[in-house]
Amino acid sequence: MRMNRRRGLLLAAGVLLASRLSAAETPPARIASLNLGADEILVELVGTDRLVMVTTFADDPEMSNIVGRVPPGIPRVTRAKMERLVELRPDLVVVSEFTEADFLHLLTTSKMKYHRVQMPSLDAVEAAITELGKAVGAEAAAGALAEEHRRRLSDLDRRLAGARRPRVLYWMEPYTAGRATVMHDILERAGAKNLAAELGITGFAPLPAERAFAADPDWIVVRKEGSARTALLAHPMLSRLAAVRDGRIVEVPGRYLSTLTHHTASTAETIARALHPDRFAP
Amino acid sequence: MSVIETRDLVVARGGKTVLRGVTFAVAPGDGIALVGPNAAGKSTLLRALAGLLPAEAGEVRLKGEVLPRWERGALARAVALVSSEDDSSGAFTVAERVALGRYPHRGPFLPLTAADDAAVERALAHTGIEPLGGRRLETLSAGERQLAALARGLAQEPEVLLLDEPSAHLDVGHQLQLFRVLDEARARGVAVIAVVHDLQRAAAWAGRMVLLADGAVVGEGAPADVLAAAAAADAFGVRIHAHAVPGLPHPLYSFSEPTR
Amino acid sequence: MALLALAAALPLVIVGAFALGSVRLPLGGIVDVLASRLGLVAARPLDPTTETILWVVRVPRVLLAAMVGGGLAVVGAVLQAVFRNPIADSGLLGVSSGAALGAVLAVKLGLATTIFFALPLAAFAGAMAAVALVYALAHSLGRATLHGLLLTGLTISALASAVTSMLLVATEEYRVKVVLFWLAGGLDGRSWPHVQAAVLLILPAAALLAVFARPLDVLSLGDEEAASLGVRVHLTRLGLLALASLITGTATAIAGSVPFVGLIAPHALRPLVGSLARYLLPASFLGGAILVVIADLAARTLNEQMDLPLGSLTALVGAPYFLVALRGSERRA
Repeated sequence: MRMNRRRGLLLAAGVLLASRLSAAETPPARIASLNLGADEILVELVGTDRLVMVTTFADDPEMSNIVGRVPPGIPRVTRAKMERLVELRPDLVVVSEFTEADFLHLLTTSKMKYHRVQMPSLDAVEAAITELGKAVGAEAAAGALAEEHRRRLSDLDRRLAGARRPRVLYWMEPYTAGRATVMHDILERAGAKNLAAELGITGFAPLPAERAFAADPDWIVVRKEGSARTALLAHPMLSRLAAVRDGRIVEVPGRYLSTLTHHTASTAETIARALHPDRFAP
Repeated sequence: MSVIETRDLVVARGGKTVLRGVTFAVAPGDGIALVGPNAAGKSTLLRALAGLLPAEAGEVRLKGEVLPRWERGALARAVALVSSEDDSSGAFTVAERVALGRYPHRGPFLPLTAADDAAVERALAHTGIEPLGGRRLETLSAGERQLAALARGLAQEPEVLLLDEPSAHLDVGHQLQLFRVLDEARARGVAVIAVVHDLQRAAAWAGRMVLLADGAVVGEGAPADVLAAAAAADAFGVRIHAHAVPGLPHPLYSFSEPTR
Repeated sequence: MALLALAAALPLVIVGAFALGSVRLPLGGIVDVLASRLGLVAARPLDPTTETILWVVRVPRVLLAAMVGGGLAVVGAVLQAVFRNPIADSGLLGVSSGAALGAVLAVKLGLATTIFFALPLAAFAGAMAAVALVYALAHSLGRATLHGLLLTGLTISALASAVTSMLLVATEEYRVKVVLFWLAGGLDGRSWPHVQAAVLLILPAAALLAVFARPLDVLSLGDEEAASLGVRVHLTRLGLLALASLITGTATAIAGSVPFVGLIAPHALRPLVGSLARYLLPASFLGGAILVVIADLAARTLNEQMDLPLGSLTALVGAPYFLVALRGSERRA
């Protein structure tokens, strides 16, 4: 009796191991990506021939870092259309941490596997890329991408060692990014002090213009596209800030601000170069 | 034997005492005009008789039994209240509205029978609005709607018919028709109690007049007697003059402001 | 009669909605899947794509559209009778605003992204809490009159909307988008568990409302007249409004905000079947079901890249309809 049970357990373990191996051996060949960040990472990890669906935002130059890299033949969606998704028979659907649980349940009931990309902080970017790499059977590429990201950030740390940290306001009118946001981490790595955190703000929250004015930031970071800079110059109160008058405004391209991917290194670099030009040899 | 009566009835509304001990009795076939100045409590009395307002003190007895002991449906079959305010949704047809008067007899689920249909027919015929049966209420004049409300009350086939200013929106022709209908109901044994503002009308029609002032009965009896009494002049704050007219069974009344 | 025509039309519309969608399915495949799932034929191998699209995605969605549309239409008809107001609609008692608040809370607290069914449950809880609050407040001021209910409902709606806005403003943008899609109304992502909830709550409640058709009619004569005809006005009204709230809360929890259905269906059907509840209520259910099934079909087929919001489609149809209907009635008056 006991012999049989032990053999049964061994058998079960063997089957489990085998199934895991088999899963690793057959990486998904048809990947549907339902958010822009995943689009961008997947393009680096698996190229575009294994992609069966991406988001419409991938073609938007104000948001996307992969414009022109996804062939027009691959369908785009703004928001998941279940029937089309089922029709494309993906092996893996990549979703974000904001995707609703009810939708995920529907994916499972439709016999579709999904992988959720979660990046709660800047430090988590590399781990998330690695996880995604495992899920799509591109561990090597993921490792390289993550390593590149890590290298670029530690290069920044090296260059900016000992630099004076200016007080920087991230201004997405009327919102700013306080503590516990990825933008906070980015600002810190870019050699800045996040003004919003200093003002006690946590998370993505609105900031009254008066408080921004009273805090008198050294620099202001805005999105390049759209009229953020012009709006600041025209703002009756904020236009009087020293930072605005002296042109200490960093305009970051929208595609570095729209998603959380390996491109966050570019976001940090863009800001760092503006704040500390002396640390970057021409 | 009275069909409905009150004894020392005290009723309050909104915290204020409106009726301060009203006592009178009504027999089957009676035609009572309930008159009095504004805010005397006439509407309140009607609603108390219908069982819509509770008695703070005293009682209302319907066929010998106090109202609170009456089962809701049975009470609705015995007493019908027709008010001059029509709150009803205008989308119903006249026939549908009148047919709802059979609700106390059939309840929420039982279908209407031929007897019910006949009662509705009779009510429409008595009020003379048969031709309007298929018209929607919102397309009718105020007077026609009033007749439809009356027809609903008749369709209930009650033993007591309470009317709050039934002639309010009616032209003179319809007014005469209305009171004729009430007389026909009386002839069938229905006790009719109507609040009437027009004293001339009330005097012409009623078999008995009850004068209410400040929540109490200050006059009761034949209309001529009630209006001739000092209480009537006091209650309305006017001088009431009765003029006998040859050929008319009852006097014509005129009113003048009291001399200072 | 018009009622029979509607009753015949609904199954046709539903089957039509099964057959149409953003992906073309072979008609034979559809018949195969339906027949085999309904147990009409012995199990046989089915094309998995067709089966999944039809049985997992489309069929539950169409059934939900029918139940949500039918439920909201019946509620509209009932509220119009109870409040004696032709523009009374399900949003009156604070149900929709309460549901929205519940939904926003679920999203903001991250429950909607981690726990299955958390969003509809929270929306339902919010809806019921709002209604209970409305009734309790209206009663605390004395027996709840229609006027009191109306005003309290408006107040609680405004309050819930205000709190919702405050929460949204402090929520990060991706989560706000989730709420936005929910508020705009839609049935994408809903599946059989949602259907079960609707069958359990909407259908029996709607049936009960139809059963109490005659007291409803008497109630619409006016409180005093209804009482004198032997109807327990407050109890009846409480029961009717409770059922109406249950249906609206469930429908909103499942599909978000789907306006105008409760206005269009009864309004369009009154000229055809009359105003008596025993015809108008079932007719409204059928009419509302047909309307929303078609609207949902449009929502999922008109645009290649996303499902259009269901609530916007019913509003886009409803608003012009009302303008036309209003002009017609003004001219007649």
